[in-house]
Amino acid sequence: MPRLIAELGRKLGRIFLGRIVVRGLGELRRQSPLCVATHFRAAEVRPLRTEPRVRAAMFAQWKKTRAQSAGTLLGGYAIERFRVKRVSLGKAKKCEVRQYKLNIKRRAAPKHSMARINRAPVVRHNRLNFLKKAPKFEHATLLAFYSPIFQEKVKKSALDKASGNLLFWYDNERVKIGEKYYLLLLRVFGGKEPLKWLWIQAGKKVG
Amino acid sequence: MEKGKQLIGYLTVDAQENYFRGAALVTDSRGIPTDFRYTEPVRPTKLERILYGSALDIYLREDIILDNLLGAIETKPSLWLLEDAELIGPVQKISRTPAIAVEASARAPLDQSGQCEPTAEQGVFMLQADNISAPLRLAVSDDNISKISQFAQTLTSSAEGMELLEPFSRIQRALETVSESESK
Repeated sequence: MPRLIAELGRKLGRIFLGRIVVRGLGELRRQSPLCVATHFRAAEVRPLRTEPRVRAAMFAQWKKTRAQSAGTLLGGYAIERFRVKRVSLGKAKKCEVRQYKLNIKRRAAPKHSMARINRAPVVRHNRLNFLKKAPKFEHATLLAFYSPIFQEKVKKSALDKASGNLLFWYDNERVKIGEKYYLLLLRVFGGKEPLKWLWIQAGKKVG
Repeated sequence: MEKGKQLIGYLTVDAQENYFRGAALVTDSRGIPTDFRYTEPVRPTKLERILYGSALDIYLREDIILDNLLGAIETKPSLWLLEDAELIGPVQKISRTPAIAVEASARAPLDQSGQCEPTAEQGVFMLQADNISAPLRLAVSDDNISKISQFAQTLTSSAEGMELLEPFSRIQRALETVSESESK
């Protein structure tokens, strides 16, 4: 009813008094607010994993940690340059950090182990087939020829019967090297021992 | 170290199904070790497999294993010997030391020890390192072809006191013991 009376008043005022209603832009906006509709769907991105929680401020200790060791904190990745200038978590509650370029690079930490390589035997193949002129022995025939070997440095040796290779270990703590030798394996005919090992200094005539 | 004795470096990168591992052995000219380093096994993550794709192999061999391994070696050899010719470039770039890929051949021995002959392949030579073995097949980078006689001399000199390829099998045995101890 009030709206009808107001409308009647505006019409009578226009007919008899020549008045019209002037409306402001703000009022117009309030009466018909702009509405924009879109057919696109909004996509919400949510991580599948749970929110990370920091249990301990490990970075605070990195100031005294070598870059190589700090890398282990990141599971195989190393930080080449990173330095915390000052961390104060006391009453002042200030945390001042100097910012550097952070270069994260994966590492394959090399290990040093002379003991492991010293435990591995040195191998010599049977070179009999490559001798241009096989030596001759009385009542014996040559089965294998190994070269070169520093006899005085050999700690222990073994023959791999399957491959015919000679395995031996040098005593690497022994300073003296000694002379180079050939090692020959002979089959002896008519002797007590069917096999015989024979050391011959390298350079000397064999046979 | 005796004066005048050359150091030879042996380097290998072992690529297994799901991990890579590198090892380097430096010996004197009699095959006696002066330095030995090996890396922990490097297993590529799923993210690395996706990011690097077909370049994963190169990334792991060169950027990860060789870079770290060669950086850790304290006794620098005068020459690196490799089993894989593809590693010549990266090894030379990182170590700034000449590298040669070397392997045994099934060819008949050449006339005399120290003899080095070019083959039809660019940068590949046959070297008779000693009198009682088959010649070795050497592959060098293009920029080192002119130095082949110098390399041949070094290798021939070392072959007087050792079997040149033998340290590779020693590295392999050492790595096997490392793998066994890690799997326990």
